[in-house]
Amino acid sequence: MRCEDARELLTARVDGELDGVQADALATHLDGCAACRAESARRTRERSAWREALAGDHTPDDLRRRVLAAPVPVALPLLLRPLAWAAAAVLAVLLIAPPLLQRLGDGDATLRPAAVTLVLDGGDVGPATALATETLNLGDSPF
Amino acid sequence: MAQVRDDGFARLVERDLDRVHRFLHGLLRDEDLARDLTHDTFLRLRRSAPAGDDGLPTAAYVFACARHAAVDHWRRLRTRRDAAPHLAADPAPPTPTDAPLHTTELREALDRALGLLDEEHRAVFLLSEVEGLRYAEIAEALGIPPGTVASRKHHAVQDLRRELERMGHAL
Ligand SMILES: [Zn+2]
Repeated sequence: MRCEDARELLTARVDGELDGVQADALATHLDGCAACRAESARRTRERSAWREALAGDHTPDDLRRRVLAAPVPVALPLLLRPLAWAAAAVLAVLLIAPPLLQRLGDGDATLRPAAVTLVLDGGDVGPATALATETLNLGDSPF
Repeated sequence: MAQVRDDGFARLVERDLDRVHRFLHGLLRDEDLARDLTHDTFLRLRRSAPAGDDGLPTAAYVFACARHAAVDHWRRLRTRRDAAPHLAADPAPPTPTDAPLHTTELREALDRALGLLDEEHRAVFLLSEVEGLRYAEIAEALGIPPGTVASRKHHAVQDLRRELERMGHAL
């Protein structure tokens, strides 16, 4: 094994990610290579120092409160779901049509109809990401 | 599917809020943005997430959601820049070094060095080194093969080390 190959295995070994065959091959190389043994010790020190330096943060309380206030999804009975979709479709048309027509009129190249979705949960939907990426959810949350 | 259970979501927040926020902060290097996308991530999880044996989604699923929030953000940013060419020349705002809670020299040096990695290497590094995810979990979260996780982790470590040495922080 070349030192170069041993180094990548060393990184994985310190992360606890080597299988038996790889670990044996690396051990054989380490037996005969002081440079890679030193490298192994260094990576171990480095990993714990870096982790300690980077892992201390705690989320600010106001963000925690905001997240915990996320609206509970409404689980609708199966029979009502087609009705909900129909209502959503009507709402979508009502909401999307005016800006759509306006933007088409302006020749807006950024127009992305697919990015316009609805959130039925109500309440705080946060920044645009939630709107742009969520699909309509009818209650398959695990919570 | 399972019915609404507030205690499950509270447990998920307890388990993952700090690390999702930390991951997004490291990935995006912007605290306001990290907060907004952390909030978005948990909204998604609140609405829909596959629950494991403990009633909670896996760490891989949670971080996949977080990364999707970041990818969506970058996509919107590109769309806006394409639509408004005069913004294209603006560099990404630098990370405020006064934002994080830890202010050790090593932390600051690592922060700067992380900023020099591309997003793909930074994501793997943060999930592995800081959050302690297994390579298989990272592969699932990022949608890449485990072997790619291993090589990205190794290259990220090499690049960070070189940069830290340059800044006088060799270990
Ligand atoms: Zn060697």
